[in-house]
Amino acid sequence: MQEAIQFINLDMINVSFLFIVGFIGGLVSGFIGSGGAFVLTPGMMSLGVPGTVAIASNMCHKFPKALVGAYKRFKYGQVDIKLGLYMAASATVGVQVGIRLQKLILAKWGQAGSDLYVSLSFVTILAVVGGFVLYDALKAGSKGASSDSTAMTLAKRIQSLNIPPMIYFKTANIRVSLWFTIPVGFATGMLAATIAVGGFIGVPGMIYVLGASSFVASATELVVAFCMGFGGSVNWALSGMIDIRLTLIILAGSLLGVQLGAIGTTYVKEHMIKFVMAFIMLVVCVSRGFAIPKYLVKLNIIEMSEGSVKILSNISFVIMCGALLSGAIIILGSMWKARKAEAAAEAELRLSGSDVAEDMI
Amino acid sequence: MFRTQNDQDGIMDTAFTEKEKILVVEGGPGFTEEIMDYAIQLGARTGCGIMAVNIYNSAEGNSVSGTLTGNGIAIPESFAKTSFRCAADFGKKAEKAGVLFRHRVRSGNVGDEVWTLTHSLKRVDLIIADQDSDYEEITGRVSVPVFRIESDSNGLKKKNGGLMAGASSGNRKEYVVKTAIYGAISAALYAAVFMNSEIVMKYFTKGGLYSALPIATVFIFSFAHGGFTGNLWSMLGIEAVTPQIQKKTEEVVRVSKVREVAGTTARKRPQASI
Repeated sequence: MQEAIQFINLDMINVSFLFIVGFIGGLVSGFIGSGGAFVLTPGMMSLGVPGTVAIASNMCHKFPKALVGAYKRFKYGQVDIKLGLYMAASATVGVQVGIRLQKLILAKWGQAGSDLYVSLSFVTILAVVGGFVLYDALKAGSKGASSDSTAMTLAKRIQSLNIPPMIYFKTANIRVSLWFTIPVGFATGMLAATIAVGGFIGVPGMIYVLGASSFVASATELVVAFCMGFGGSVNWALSGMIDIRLTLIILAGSLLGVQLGAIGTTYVKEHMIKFVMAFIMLVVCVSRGFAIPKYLVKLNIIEMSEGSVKILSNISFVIMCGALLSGAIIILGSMWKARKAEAAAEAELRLSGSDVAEDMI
Repeated sequence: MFRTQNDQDGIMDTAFTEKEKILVVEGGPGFTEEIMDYAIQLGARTGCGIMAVNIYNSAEGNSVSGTLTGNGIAIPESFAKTSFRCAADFGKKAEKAGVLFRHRVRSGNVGDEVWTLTHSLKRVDLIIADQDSDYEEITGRVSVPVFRIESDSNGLKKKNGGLMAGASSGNRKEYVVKTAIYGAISAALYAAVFMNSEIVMKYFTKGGLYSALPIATVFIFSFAHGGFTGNLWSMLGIEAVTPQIQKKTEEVVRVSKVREVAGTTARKRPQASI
């Protein structure tokens, strides 16, 4: 299998691109719990990296990044380790199934088939889940509520179903049946193995199915990402598909980003995390949509001139860059705005602090 | 107009002498943003004046040359200068809030100096300190309620110009050193991999037992580079804003209050004794 894999040459442009994309991907990951890889996979594929190498190299950078991010957010009291481990355990099974499926596709339809499968998975999942999360985020934002919307009623119903064993997750402050955490975890793992971004099922799953807050869900996803990223990376490493150079360049940028993103979550309101997640998902979804014809042409399913395919690929690339930049701007902008608001709140807090002192006099 | 001067003991304008006071004690050469804001707001709401004192711990440097204080112990010029500069800022803020403000620089043991001040100044209603060691020393010596306001040590306030005392430069220095160390390790690791990329790629993509190589590599890199990036953001003053930081300040004030109440005979308004 190894002979079929080509590793790209690295020049300064490629290195700079990967570093910057790594940084922004890390920023997004630290903020919404995942998402670095979903930007990075197509990013690397745009540079000519084969889909499987892109996924393998991504996954290998993902778990140390998740470890650093999770540690940072754990310090802020946002990580539910128990929930993360339950999710990770079921996700590990999902990862194994996902990897087998991916290898099967690679063997049967070759590289183009594998690329098409990855792109189609991207478009379908990002469109459906991203659309739903955006709807919920906008609703929560317009209400001015810190969370919660009609979408949360599903979680409440699920929590009220008393199917043993019921488990209590302290940080998330939810009591839910194990039989609901398993499918959410499995789907997370399955998606992670396919497109290296399980978080786009995991985070909304924890929010809307299990009932965790956006903060806890996005932070706990980092634990899940670490566990299954580790398992997945070992699998890809056994096949010799990890391009360590790509992994390390991305890691250089993403560790900078993930810490900044984690810090950013302490500045914003809950619906902001959902909004950023949905926004990025949908823009990348559009971007990947433009890339699909290329693989269909390669597989001789449709016919299209070379020029048209190139134009579509370029459009896809530009939109993806737009998604990256917009995501970063939204996160940094909301951090900046929230920081100012925080300073005002702090001043108010000091005033109330003097009330306490006043009682003494 | 506020004053920041080496007032000789006992020489005070009548308006300030007769006023109820908050004594703000700092065992270093500056005042933290938290202490300044807290004291000013408390002063504004209660009508108390503020007497701010920087105390140079003479045990640390008797041999230095500098301004001599009433007790004959030299205060280093740098200590005095920083104190006056920070007190000027403190004074301006207090003046803006309509709070009377005076400042002194003294030398000696914090506990002794505060005892002397509470007995030489009239109407000291409350003492505010920001360091554990100062707080412990003071509470053992005087019967006036002592509040300890914990300052934010994680560097967040520094970005906003918050920490004015020398402590901030200490933290920053630590971050700079750590960033430099982790940065050097990280750079060396990257250089090692990319200067030997052909050999690295040959072995790292072999699969089988060799699969341990990329996994171990990313762990090592994440430790070194993660240490570098974490310290870099802290060095730049970008740190999390958590409700805990603010709650901490409130809690510390409350705990101090409880301890003070428990430590005094009655929850009475303290009377200054001369």
